[in-house]
Amino acid sequence: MPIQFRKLILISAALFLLGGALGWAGPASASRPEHPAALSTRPSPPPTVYPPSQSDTGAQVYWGMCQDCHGDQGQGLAAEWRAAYAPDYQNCWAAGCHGEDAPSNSFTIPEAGAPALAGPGALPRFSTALELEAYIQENMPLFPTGSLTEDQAWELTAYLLSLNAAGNPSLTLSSTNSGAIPVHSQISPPESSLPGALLLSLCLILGAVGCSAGKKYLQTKTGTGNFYLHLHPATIPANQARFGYTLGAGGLAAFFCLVLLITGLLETYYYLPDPGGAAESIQTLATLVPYGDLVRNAHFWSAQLLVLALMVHLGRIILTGAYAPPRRFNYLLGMTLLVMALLLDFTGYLLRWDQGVRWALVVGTNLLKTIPGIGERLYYFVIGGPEPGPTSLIRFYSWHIYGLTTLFAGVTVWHIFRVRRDGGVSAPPAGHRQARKRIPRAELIRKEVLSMLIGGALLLLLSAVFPAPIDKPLAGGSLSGDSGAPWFFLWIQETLKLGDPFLWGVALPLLVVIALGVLPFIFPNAKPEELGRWLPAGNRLGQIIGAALIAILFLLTLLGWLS
Amino acid sequence: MTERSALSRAKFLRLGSRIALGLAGILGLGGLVRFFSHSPETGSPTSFHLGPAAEFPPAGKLTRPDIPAVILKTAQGFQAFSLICTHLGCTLEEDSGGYSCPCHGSVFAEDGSVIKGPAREDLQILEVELTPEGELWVHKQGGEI
Repeated sequence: MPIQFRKLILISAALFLLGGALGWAGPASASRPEHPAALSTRPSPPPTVYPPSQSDTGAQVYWGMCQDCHGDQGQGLAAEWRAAYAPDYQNCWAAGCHGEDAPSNSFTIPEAGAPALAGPGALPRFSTALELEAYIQENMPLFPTGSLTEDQAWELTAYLLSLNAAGNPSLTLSSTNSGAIPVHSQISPPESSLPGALLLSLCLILGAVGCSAGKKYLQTKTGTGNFYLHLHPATIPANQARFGYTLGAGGLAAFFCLVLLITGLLETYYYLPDPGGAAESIQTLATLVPYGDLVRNAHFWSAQLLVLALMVHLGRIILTGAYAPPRRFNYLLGMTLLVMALLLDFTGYLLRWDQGVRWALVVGTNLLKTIPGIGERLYYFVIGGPEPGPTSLIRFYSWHIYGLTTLFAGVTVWHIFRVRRDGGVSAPPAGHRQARKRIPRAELIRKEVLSMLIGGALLLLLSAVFPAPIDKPLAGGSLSGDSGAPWFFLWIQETLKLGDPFLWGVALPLLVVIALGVLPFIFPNAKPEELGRWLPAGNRLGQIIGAALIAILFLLTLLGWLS
Repeated sequence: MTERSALSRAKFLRLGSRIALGLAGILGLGGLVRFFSHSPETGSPTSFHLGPAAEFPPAGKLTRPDIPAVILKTAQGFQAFSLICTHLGCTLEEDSGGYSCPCHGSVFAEDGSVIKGPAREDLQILEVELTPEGELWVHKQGGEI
C-alpha cells in the first residue's frame, strides 16, 4: 500500500512538473518538439549545408517537427525508435500525454501509430510527389494540424523522396512539376533543351544565310519537276510579291499552322485527356520528356503568334481593299479560319486542365447558357453534361485534335486554292499595271523558304527561353478564386463588365465578326486599277470601319491586360 | 576567271546551306528520337508478400493470380515460377497436373517445364525470400513479358 501511494505521488508530481513546463514553454514552442527531455539520446540536427537544397531544408523541418513520431530515419513509431525514449515514455498510447485521454494541449496518437516513411512498402497510398505534398499539407503534423507552410510541405516532400531514393535531388519540387515525379522510383530529368534549340536554330540561320546569298544561283535554276511549284503561278507581279505589300502574314500563318500540326501531333503521344491526369501528363511532358518542354512551348507560341498573324493578315486585306470581287468569297473563308483559330486556341488552352483555365471553364461555357432558346442545349453539347467534368475534357480534346483541326485544315486548303483561283495575290488587272516587272515562282519560293527558316529559328529561340504557362492541377471541384480570360478573349472579358452577358458576351462578339465579314458586301470596293497597293480610295469607308473595329478590339485587349 | 569564281561561290553557298539544313534535319530527327525515348515509371509492384511461412498451405502449393505466380514448398525449400506463358505473355490457366495457355495452347508441367509448344522455354523462376521473421516474399524483375 505505501509503495503504491508513493508511486501515485511521484506520477502526480511528474505530471505537475510536466504541465508546468508545458505551460511555461507556452506558445513559443508551437513548432518545437513538445518533450525533448523524453528522448534519452536525441539525434543531433542534420548538418547545415550551404546553399541548402529543398531536401536539406526539409531534413531540418523533419528533425524539428516529424521525427518524434516518425523516427529519425523515417522508420515510423516502431519499437526500435521508441527504445530511444526514456522508459516511461516508450508506450506512447498509454503515456499520459498521447493516450486516449490526452490533455487539451496534446493529442492522441492513432492506434496504428505513426507509419514508416522510408524503406520498402513505405508511403503506399501515394504515387506522385504532388499527392504526397497535398496529404502532408492537409494532415501533418497531427498537432496542430495544418500548421505547415506550403514551402515547408514541399521541403518535407523533397526530403521524404530523398529518404526513399526517389525523385531527383536536382529538381526543386513545386505544384507545376511534382505531378510528374514518382514517390517510389528514381527519375533522371533530361538535360536542358536550350543547347539543342540553340544549335538547331543556328543551323536554320546558316541555311537561311545560304538561301539569301545564293539568290542568283537559285533564281536561274527554276526546276520543273517539283510538285510544290504548282502552289504558285509561274510568275508573280513583282510589286505585289513584296514583303511590304503582303507583310508575309498569310504565309507566316500557314507556317505556324504547320508547326502547330507537327508539335500538336507530338504532344498527343504524352497527353492524357483525363481530368485526374491531364495536368500531370503536361507536367511530365514539360519536366521529364527530353525536348518535351521545347515541343510544348513551340506549340504554345505558334498558337499565340498565329492569332496575331491572322489579325495582321486581316488588317492588310482590309487596308489594301484586296477583298474586292472576285475575292469576296475567299475573304469569308478567311474570316471562318480566324474564328476557328480562336476556337482552337480556346480548346487547346482548356486542355491544360489546371487552375489557369478556370475563366474559360466557368465564364466561357456559362456564356453559352445565356443564348435564348438554344443556350441550355448548346451548353450540354459543348460540356457533355450539366457541369464541367470528364466528358467536357474529352469533348474539348476531340474538338481540338480532330473536329476543329480537320475543318480548319480543309478550309485552309480551300482558302489557299481560292487565292490561286482568284488570280494570286490581289493586283491590278494586266491593262492597268504600271510596273510590268514579274518574278519567277522559284524566287517566291526562295523567299518563302527564307521566311520559314528565319521564322523557325526565332520560334525555337522564343520557345527555348520563354516557357508556356503552367499552373497547379485543377483539383476536383475547386473552381473558385480569381481568374482571367486568355489574352485573345480579354476583349470579351472587358465588354462583359458592361452589363447583360448575352448582349455583351455573345451578341457583341458575333456582331463584330459579322461586321467584319460583310465589309466587302455592303460598302463600296476598291476599283480594279486601285488594287495591289495600300489604302486605295475606293473602299475608304470599309477601311475606316475595319480599322476602327480592330483598334477597339486591340484597346479592349490592352485594357484587360493592364487591369 | 570572274565567271569561274562566281560559279564556285554559288557552289559554295549551295553546299553550305545544304550542309546546314541537312544538319538541322539530323538534329531534329535526333531530338525526335530523344523525345520518344522517355518511358514513364509503371509503378506496378515487383515484390509480393505471401504471408508467414508457417501458414503456407499444407498442400505445398500456393497460386497467386495477382503476381501471377505459383509457389511450391518442396523438400529443398520454397520455389516459385511465373504463370506468364513464355511464348507471348498470356496468363496461364491451371490444368490437371499442369498449366495451359488459353491463347495458343502451350502446356507446361507442374514444375514449370514446357511440355507442348508453341512455347519453347520453361516458365520463369522467381526469387523467393524467407525473412528472418519468417515472412515469405516473392520478387519479380521488371521488364519480362
